[in-house]
Amino acid sequence: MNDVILRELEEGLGADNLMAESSELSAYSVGSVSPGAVVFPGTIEEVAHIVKVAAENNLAIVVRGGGTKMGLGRDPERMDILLCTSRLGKVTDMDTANLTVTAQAGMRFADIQGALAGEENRCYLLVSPNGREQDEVCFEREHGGCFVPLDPPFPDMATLGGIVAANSSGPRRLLYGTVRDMLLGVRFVNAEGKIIGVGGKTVKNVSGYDVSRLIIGSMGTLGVLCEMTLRLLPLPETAATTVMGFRSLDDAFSLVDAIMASQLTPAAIELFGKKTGVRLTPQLQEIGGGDGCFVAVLAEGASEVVERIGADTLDMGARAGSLESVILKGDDHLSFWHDYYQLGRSDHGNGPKEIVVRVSCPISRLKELLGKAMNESAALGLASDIFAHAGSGVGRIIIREKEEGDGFKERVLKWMGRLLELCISISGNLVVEGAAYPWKGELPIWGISRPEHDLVERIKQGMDPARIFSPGRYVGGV
Amino acid sequence: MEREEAIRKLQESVGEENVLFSDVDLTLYGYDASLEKGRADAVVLPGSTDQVSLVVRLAYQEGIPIIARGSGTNLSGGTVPVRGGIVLHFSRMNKILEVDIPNRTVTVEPGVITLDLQTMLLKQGFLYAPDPASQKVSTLGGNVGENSGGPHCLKYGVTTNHVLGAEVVLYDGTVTWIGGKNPDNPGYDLMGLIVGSEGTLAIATKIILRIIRAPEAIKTMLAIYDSIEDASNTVSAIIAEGIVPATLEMMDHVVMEAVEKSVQAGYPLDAAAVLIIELDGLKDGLDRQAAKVLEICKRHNVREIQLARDEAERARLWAGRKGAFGAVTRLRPCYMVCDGTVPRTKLPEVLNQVMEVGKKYGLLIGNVFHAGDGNLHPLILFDERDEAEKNTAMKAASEILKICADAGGTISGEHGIGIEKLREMNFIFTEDDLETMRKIKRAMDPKDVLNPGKVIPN
Repeated sequence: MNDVILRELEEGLGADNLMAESSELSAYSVGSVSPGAVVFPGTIEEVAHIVKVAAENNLAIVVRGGGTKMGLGRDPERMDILLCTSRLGKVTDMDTANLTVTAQAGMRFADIQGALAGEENRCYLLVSPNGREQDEVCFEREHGGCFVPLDPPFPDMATLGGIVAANSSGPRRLLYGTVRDMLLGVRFVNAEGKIIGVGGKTVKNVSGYDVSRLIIGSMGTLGVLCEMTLRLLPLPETAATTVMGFRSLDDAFSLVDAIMASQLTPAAIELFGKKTGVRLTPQLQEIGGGDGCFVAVLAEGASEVVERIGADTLDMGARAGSLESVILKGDDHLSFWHDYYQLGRSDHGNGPKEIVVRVSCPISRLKELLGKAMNESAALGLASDIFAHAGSGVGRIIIREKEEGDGFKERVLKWMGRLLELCISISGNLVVEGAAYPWKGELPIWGISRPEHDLVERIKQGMDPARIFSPGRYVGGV
Repeated sequence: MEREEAIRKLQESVGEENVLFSDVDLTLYGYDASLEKGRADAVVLPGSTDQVSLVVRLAYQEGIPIIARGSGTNLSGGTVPVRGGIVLHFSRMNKILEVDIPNRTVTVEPGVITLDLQTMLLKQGFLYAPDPASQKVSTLGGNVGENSGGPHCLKYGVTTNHVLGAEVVLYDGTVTWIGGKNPDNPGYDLMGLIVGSEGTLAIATKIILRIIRAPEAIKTMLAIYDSIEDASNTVSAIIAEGIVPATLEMMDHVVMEAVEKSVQAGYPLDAAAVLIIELDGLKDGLDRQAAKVLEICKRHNVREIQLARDEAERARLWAGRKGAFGAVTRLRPCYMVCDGTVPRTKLPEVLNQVMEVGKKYGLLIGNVFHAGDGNLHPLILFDERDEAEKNTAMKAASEILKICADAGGTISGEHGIGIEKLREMNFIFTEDDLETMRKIKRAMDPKDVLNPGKVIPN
């Protein structure tokens, strides 16, 4: 990057918050693309300054928060500036009486939850089991604290901005919904470097277009998200998780169907493969049968409600043919979910390489989708694992390279082709969330192209005509 | 194109009997539930998506404004044909196309009446949650266009939280699907953008809605107060105690008096305010929660509490609230609703300021509103035939919206901007914010044929 531009950036940021030495830049690569400069703005005005400089010089900007989603999407066509939100890490308004919180994009999700949990330092979600004092976490609690009713993967690393930009969700979406149900307002910097504010602090708001919702899941292609206002809920009185082992996917899904047909209101119904299950719940003996899988039913709320859901789930599970079951409470419950939120963290671990595919479909077709996907992978000699939000029609399939991985790429491509066909046949879709391979570009990263894509292009053209925000990284090369 | 020729083309597209253009018809379709009036050139009653597409294509080619509408319960002038053009009325597209219990969805045509869908679903133990007060006549297409709210939105969210997808007709007549039964498609959330866009970005012709299981148990309470402040503080205290009721509705003495005269809901005439509090969910623990609510009410000097023992009593407690808007016309012939919304804890302060505005202008103002989510509905009562009083009422309304905006709230919670609140948009948005919305409008409707002149001030 030329010196004039660097000096312009530096003027608005200070030299400490600008990185342009090529030796340092490679650590900030996105796929195979290295940035020309990395910037660390500390205020929204500084973000606006950076975007203005970029707009004047036609430079492309990619945003990075905690880095958990840098493996998502195609490599950007251009990345002159990588904008890190790590210095935008403040809660700007915590209004628990009105059940709203406003925080900056770079704030880590776990830190927001921690700040909201109340003076007692009680945490809704356990973030690091090793780094906490036993008595700090209280789950049988009196009310007082609040939480953001979202539970995206990797809460210890993921930032608020990244969660909104990628529309991350988790198991509890079954009861609480997704980002679009929680986000009340945003402030972002548009392609001209202007600060735009939409939405507000009230749950009901129909003043003008709902631009906040347009920003959700736009992957940084419409603007730089700087500040968000989210809806809160009071912390539940208590919580517990019932985990059950089953002989087959069919048996497991008959429990899921029974719960869904009942009036129970669980916060989550998760279904996961045997390997994951055995690791997450040492309380359960390893179950028999090659196709074994597990179901975890999470209940949150008044103690009577949690008890009822646990008891009814056990009954329904027994009728569905469960082999074994355990109700996790207290620390066991917290540890289980702590580990669960780390599943699929392929880009960060040191283990063998993995391909993580997120699939989604109408709720009633998930069994078919997961079952067939696993059969296909087995037929191709690929090791696979699954975990799914079974009541929401969303799942993840992880494909691992085996030792004797001959022709791994060809087999993965073949499997992916079949998965794509399967998704088309059941009105589903897929996203390749992680695949740290040089041939990643050959995979259908953003799944099946959608009929409304033309509108996506039109909106992009209207809001970022020079394509300075994350060009080429998102759906259809937007 | 001459008007006659355009009408002939419309008749070819939808059938002669489905194009209305008599004086009476054009007058009837020239207004909605707001004070605004306009006049269309023709009213078209399409019977299918293809017909909608044909009409929109013609409008696009000829640059004729097109205004989609349902029953016209809109409170902000959003469906008034201010620049003439074609009014598309969806009364013939009123079928429930599919009830898909396993996938928790229903697919409907836009002309289906909200309550008809809800009544049908409840028989099967399911719920379409958004319940605008006009649900008896409002259409689901209209609810989507306005992102309608309602009393139960406190717990269940507004319309947009329940719309999964739609078949839409775009500005040039192109038909496309947005969203669907698949919960997560990558790409921009265009559905979220279109809901609440008041027919200015696209016209929905089929809508996929999320349904949920009806709750196992419901507890409805009516709490009567001698001071509006105590009632407001009860609302905040309930939430602070960690209880999120299904609904928390408030009425002041002006409205109670009007209601009592019309539906005899059993409200004492000397009370200052009533709260309707409804809890729902699994039956387990609901009694304990209700006891806690009672205790909170007592702590805030409640005068009397009635607890519904059965569905009939529940209906009685609700009757007053549901009939409130209609009842106030017993006091004066017209009312203007201010739909301002504020953070809940600001309610006592803002209500005081609202009453001050009433005093200042010598206007009678009644309050009936969704207290739980801070969504006020001050009803400014006046007589439309008295031009001076009407103007004063409009001035007062604008002032009330300014008070809401200044309290950290917004100018419309659930009724929309339409044309009535265009002037107030700058209370909450900068010119740059508005320009962002204009960019979206230009991207989705480059020739400005879809409900022009609404939502965003020029």
